[in-house]
Amino acid sequence: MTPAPLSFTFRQRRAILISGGLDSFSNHARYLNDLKVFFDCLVNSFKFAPSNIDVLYANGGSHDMGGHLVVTQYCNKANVVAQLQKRTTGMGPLDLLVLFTTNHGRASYPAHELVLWTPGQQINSEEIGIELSAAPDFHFLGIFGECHGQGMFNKLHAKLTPATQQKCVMVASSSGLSWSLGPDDAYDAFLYYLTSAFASKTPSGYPVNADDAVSPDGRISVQEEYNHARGMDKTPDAPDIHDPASIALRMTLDGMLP
Amino acid sequence: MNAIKTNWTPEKIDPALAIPQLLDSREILSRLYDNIREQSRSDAMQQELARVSKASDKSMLRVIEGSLVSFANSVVLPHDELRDAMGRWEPLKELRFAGSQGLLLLVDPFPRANWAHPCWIATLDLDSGELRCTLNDFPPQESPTRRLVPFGPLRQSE
Repeated sequence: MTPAPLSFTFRQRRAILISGGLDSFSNHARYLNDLKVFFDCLVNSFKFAPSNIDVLYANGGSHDMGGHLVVTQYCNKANVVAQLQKRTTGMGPLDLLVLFTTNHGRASYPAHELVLWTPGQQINSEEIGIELSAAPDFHFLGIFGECHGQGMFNKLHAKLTPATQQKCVMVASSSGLSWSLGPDDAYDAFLYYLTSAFASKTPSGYPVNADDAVSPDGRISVQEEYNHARGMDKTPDAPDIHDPASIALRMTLDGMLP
Repeated sequence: MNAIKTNWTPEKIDPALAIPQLLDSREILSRLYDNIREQSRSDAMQQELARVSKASDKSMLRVIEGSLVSFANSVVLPHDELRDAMGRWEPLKELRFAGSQGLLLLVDPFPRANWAHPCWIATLDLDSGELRCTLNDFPPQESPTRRLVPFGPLRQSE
C-alpha cells in the first residue's frame, strides 16, 4: 500500500534515549535492549540521523545499536539536563523531539521521578518540562517505560509552552509498576510491543502491522502504535496515553497526517 | 519492622563461601517467610501490596511465596550504615543489629517489575540469630565489595 500523504514532513527530527539503571544489581539487561531496538527503529526504519540521537545509559560506554557503534553518555542528572538543553535549541513548529525513557521510576511527591545511575541521581517530570520549555514551539513525543511513567504526563505537560502543549503526545507503559516481557525478560513488555509497532517488526524480524484494520492508510500513527501495544501487552502493565490536543492519530515519526 | 529471635548457635563464617549454604541449612528463609507473613497480616501492608501489584484478586500469601530472595555477598558489620539503592539510610536504620557480623537479605515479591516497588530488606545477626525485616521501595545499595546475589524463592517451613 502506498502510504497516505502527510500534511508535512518534520524538518528536524531529534531524539533523546534515557536509561539510568540505579546500580549493577538493578540494571537488568532488558533496559539496554530497550534502547537498542528503539535506536534501531529510529535509524533504520525512520531514517533518523544517528547524530541527532543522544543515548544516556547507566555509566556510559559504547554499544552496537542498529549497526551503529553508539557512545552512550553517563546517565546522571547533569548530562540529562545538558542533552535536553542541547536538543531543544533551534527547534521550531515543524520539528519533532522524541524523548524515550526506560528503567526505574518513582511515584514521588510532588512530581514523578525518573531514576538515573548512582544513588541520589534522578530527574522529575517538572524539571524535564522546564528544560523542554526553552524552545517555544515544537512537536514532542514522550515515551515513558519506567515504573509509574504515567506520572510524567501532567507535570511535564504543564511546564511546556502553550504552543508545544498543542503539539504534544505522551505514552506510558503503566500508571503503576512496569513489567518485563516473559519468558526471558529480555525487554520491557510495553516498550517491546510499542517499538515493534513503530518498526512494523519485532526485534527478531517478525512482521507487525499496527495499521488500523478498518481503514488502513499505510501510515502508523502514534495512536495506532499505542493501541497495538496496549492490546498485546498481557502483563499487569496499565498503559496510558496523554493526548490533550487530539493529535495522536495524526502524529507519525515521519510527519503529521492531515 | 519486626524482630524475631530463636535458639541460635553463633556463626563465624567465611561469608563468600558459606552464605548460600547457611541460607539453606539454618531455616533462615522459613523464618523470614514467617516474619513477612506476620507483617503482611496488617491491613496497611495488604493495601500497599495490592495497590502496586494490582493483585487484589490474589491472596497476599501467594505474592510472598513468589518472592525472590537475594543476599549480599559480604557480611554486614555493626557499624556499617546500611542504605537503600536511592542512598537513603533512614528506611533501614531499624535493621541495625548488636552482634559482631550479620547478613543482608532482599526479598523481592515482584522480581519481574521495574523499581520502585515494595520489597523487604532484612538483616540476620549471626551471633544471636535475630532477624530484622522492614518494607522498602528500593533494594539495598550495592558497593564494589558488597553485591547482591539472587538466591532463590522464599519458602515456608517444611
